[in-house]
Amino acid sequence: MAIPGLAELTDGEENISPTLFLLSGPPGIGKRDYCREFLEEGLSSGRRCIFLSSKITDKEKIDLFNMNEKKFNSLFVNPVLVNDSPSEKSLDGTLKRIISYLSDIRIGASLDQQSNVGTDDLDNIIYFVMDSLNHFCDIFEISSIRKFLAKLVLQLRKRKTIGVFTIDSPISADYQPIVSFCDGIMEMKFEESNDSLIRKIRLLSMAGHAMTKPTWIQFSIDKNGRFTFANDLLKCTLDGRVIQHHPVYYLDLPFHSEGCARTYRKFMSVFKDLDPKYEVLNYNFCFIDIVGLSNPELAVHRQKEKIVRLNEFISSCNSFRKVSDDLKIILPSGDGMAIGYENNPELPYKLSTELHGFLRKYNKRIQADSTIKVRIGLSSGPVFTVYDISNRLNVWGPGIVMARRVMDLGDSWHILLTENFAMQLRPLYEEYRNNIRLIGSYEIKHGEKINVYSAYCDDYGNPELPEKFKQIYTSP
Amino acid sequence: MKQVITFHSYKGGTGKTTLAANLAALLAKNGNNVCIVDIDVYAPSLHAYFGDIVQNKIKNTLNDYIVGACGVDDLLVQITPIQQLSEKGSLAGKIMGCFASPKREDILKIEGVKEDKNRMSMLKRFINFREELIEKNDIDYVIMDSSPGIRFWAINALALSDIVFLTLKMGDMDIGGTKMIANEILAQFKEQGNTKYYLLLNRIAGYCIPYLQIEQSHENHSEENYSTLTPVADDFIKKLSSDTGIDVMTSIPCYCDIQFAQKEYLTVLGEPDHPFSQQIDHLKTLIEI
Repeated sequence: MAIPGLAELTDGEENISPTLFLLSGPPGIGKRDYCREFLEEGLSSGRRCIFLSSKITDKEKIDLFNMNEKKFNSLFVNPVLVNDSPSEKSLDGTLKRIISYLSDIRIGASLDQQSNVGTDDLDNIIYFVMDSLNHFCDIFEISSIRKFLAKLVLQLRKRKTIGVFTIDSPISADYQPIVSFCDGIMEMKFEESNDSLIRKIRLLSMAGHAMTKPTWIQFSIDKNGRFTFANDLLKCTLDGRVIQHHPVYYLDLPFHSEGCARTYRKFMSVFKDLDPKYEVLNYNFCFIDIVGLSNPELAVHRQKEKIVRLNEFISSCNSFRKVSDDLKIILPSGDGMAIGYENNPELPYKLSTELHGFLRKYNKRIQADSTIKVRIGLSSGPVFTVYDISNRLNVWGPGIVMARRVMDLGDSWHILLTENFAMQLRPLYEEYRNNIRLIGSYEIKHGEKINVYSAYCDDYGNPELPEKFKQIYTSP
Repeated sequence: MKQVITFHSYKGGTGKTTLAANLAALLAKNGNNVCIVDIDVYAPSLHAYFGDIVQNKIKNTLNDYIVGACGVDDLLVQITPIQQLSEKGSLAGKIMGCFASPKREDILKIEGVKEDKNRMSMLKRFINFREELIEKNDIDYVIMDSSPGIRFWAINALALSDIVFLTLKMGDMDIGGTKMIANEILAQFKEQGNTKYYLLLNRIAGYCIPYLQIEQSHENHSEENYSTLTPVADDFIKKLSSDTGIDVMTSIPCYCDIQFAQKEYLTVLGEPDHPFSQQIDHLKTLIEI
């Protein structure tokens, strides 16, 4: 994900090309919180981030991001504090600091990947925020800001930047000259609903994306400043409708409710000729489950937040976003999801390791009750094609079933593999041979005994034996 | 409990639409929010009960929704305010309507589909129709007026329902067809549980008092004036129930003043003391149990 709520605002777009957005909205609606969420996304994915604000101090910045100076491993500048008194020189000084910061970044490398040759352009994108343009206008001459912005924008465009510039709405006619550089426009507004105010956001335009029908999307901000967009529950939709809770399955097709599944069964009892036609394919599955998500002590909004976050992290993984949709399939599972890849068995493994990397970073900087722990099962095998309730091609069969079975044997952070899957990977690289280890055999459903492998090293996985295996070894 | 109630029959002319429209009006009169749906996609007529103003408000039809051309909200027509102005009775709840298109090309869009994938897609949208209607619009009851016979959209309406009233007249063909529906379709649905099925004998042959006499005694309707000529024998009802596996809930006489009225109207609102209105009240009691 690049900007918060992108998929909802663009009806499914997961990534964007470098764009400088103008975000307008009335005071108090949460523009700065939105920018914080945007920058945190950048920080957690190892991107370079720049935060420019004439309103807040260093200390307030640290409070805003709920992290210490060391963790805020990016550039923050308040031009008012650059010189003794705010003047054009302050803006020049600010620009120098930004240019200096940008010149430290070797083109073609992000924070985590500076030693990594051949990274994709998207990996090197810089995240930039300029907070409250109108406040800048209150302090500096508009002509000075215009000059400053002209130079700044040039630098940002050179370095492939996704930027958000915020301004209070309605935008004064005097400020029009300083907002013309933006190539994307977002708007926020309050709306009255049943005696309460709700927040809405829409994307009016974006570079390289034809916005045929900008739609207002409702959003909320929780007490920790986290954003939730109306449509960003588990990205599992049935016939275009987001599933508001755990789906009900019949013949492995997801339904909104038991009532829907029952109606479907009735249809099928009469229209037997409409039964889905099956085709057998070989798929490689990564079954991901959020540990403890259904704990009744965990508030529903926290559960939802975790699912949203997990979706975002998965969407950010190269092994997910770089694989075209026709080569992968996503099945919601309630507490997580199964992602199946056609052909390449390395992709589920890479997805698991990348996801662990994101989650570890994320968990370090958030409160304990918001941490996301996952367990993952990997397997490959035949699956049947079926059309799901949304009329999309879907799959089901032993391949996905075994991924689920093996995942069920694990605890937090385990990446467990079936033997056939491990045997496909281990010969490929020494890393795989070293990190994928046999941990024992386990009797699963229907008395079937399977050999289970665990993938782990310093960067991913869990070296501990899963509890279920410990019980086998300790039981008489 | 939110419920979907369908009036269905093997043959046409059994009074489904009249029953559906009046039950919807009575439920709304008693404070329920009701959506009435014309799923008689082959010969829609439900709109006739709600006057020209409602007909003029229909912008999208169920046909549009089924083919994915609009959402549920786009096809809902608010009936209540209009109804309150044009009828004597006032409604404590609200009535909304979803109407089908009588245009040939619209009927063919949803009926002439041969490809399994497209038929499946329409079925899935129809499943969602129920959920969206009830969840998003604060609806207590959805009343569906089905098309007669064993046809694609009639079967779909039956599958979607919580309560099905199978209406029939006393003719042999009606009875034979009803048994066929009960044994070939509903028997399979019953295996999925949770749906209630009732037989409703309607338009039972009876004594019709002349129109003028009704006009004169307008405020003095009584069941005696409409007493049935050929009372339905208990043993016949028992046999019908046994043959279909469905209980006969009530027998409604043919009220000629309603049957041959120049214009369709909602008896439960206009003539709440009419014995037909009392029959509808009985149906209401059944579904509220």
